Amino acid sequence: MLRRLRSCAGILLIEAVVAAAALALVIVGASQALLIANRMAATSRILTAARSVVQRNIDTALTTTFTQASTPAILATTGANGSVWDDDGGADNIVQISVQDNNTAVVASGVLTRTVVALANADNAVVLQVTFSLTYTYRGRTDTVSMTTIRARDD
Amino acid sequence: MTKMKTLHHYRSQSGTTLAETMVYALIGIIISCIAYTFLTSTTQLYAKNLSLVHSHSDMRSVLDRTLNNMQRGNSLPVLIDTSGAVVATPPSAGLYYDSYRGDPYVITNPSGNGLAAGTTTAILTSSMSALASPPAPAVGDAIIISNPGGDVRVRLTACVAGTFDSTNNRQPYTVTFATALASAISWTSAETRTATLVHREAFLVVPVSGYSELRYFKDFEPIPNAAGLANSANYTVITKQLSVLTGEMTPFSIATVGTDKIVKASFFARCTDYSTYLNNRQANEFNTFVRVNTSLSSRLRPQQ
Repeated sequence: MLRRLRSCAGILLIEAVVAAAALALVIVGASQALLIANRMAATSRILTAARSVVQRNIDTALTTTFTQASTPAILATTGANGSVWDDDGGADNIVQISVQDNNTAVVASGVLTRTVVALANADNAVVLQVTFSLTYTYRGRTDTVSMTTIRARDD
Repeated sequence: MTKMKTLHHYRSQSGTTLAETMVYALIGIIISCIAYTFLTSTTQLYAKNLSLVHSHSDMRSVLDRTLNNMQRGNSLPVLIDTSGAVVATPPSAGLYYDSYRGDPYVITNPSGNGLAAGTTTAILTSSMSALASPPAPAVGDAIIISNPGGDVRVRLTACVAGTFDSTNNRQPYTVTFATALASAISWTSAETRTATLVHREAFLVVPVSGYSELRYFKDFEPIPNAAGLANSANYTVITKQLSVLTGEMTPFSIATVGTDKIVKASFFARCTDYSTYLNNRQANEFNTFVRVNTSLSSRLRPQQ
């Protein structure tokens, strides 16, 4: 009877240590999960910003005036591998994707490539395949966002 | 004596020594410190996560809505300020544009010579084919009539559907103009003159209190007065997390691209959910601030 009472009274030091270790594991796991969630959300936001960079160029290519008399620079044909297109100025061939609040800390930037090739067609019309690809590195991982459209002359 | 000895023995075995108690207390303190640190860190991460996701989500909503609507635009948008007045020098807090509704609507030539200046009514006829039936004109819509001397745009104040022509599957509408035609539109009976149906909409960034709202007005003609602009029944809030800082409440401008003009937008989102708590807990407002520059091209606009 006394042995049973002793065994039920209080917790042993080893039990407390094991409990603390288990708690530490939970804490580390939960913190890691939140950190990963935070990083994924940040990555997703950068992806959206990168997509908007590509989208704005596709929109410009689709809507700018393109006639027999005038071919805008954005629709000038390129080689199959394209050429670097710096649409945000700076002449550094780098497009800023996300800039922080102080306007100096660039969170992500990348290289925007413009590829414009003529598509053969039975009518010999000027039909261009326009592709914009933005390649950037964020948190050590390289991603590319690419969009393609078709453009013909206005006249 | 035997009984007392047994109880003493029992007490000595069932309790904890001072050393044990101190060790337990130390472990408890350590665990409490870790738990407190964990809770505060978790709270910070939770706040950062929500701010990041919220600011991102809002920015996506803004981009999706503005891009989608502007691509339905039938004209180059007009920049306006928060009172609805036209802004001559960009950037601006808002813009209005003609949203494309449908075409073609064949205009009846009443005299064989077209519509005279001063005309206030017209008959529009549209196809009712399931494959090509533009919507019925409605009060508040406007029609754009192509004209060699320059397109004529006029708002509708009344629209009455006529008798349906089941033989030709056509529906006529008698429409009344808000103002008389300022100039004559001439065409012969041998020609067909059509109109395009549009509806004026607007986006406006309005500072509220510590944040700015991006408001979408589905009816912006005539331009609402101050009370109308402030009436929440007249607009939909796309986001209420745009910045109120100087230079960040005027996102819209018009840029010349080659020989063309395109609306440029620079949206600054500042998530306000936990901005106070996260103050000085993040670098450069990494989680709460997001900025996106984009272009908002209209479906159709005068090439300039």
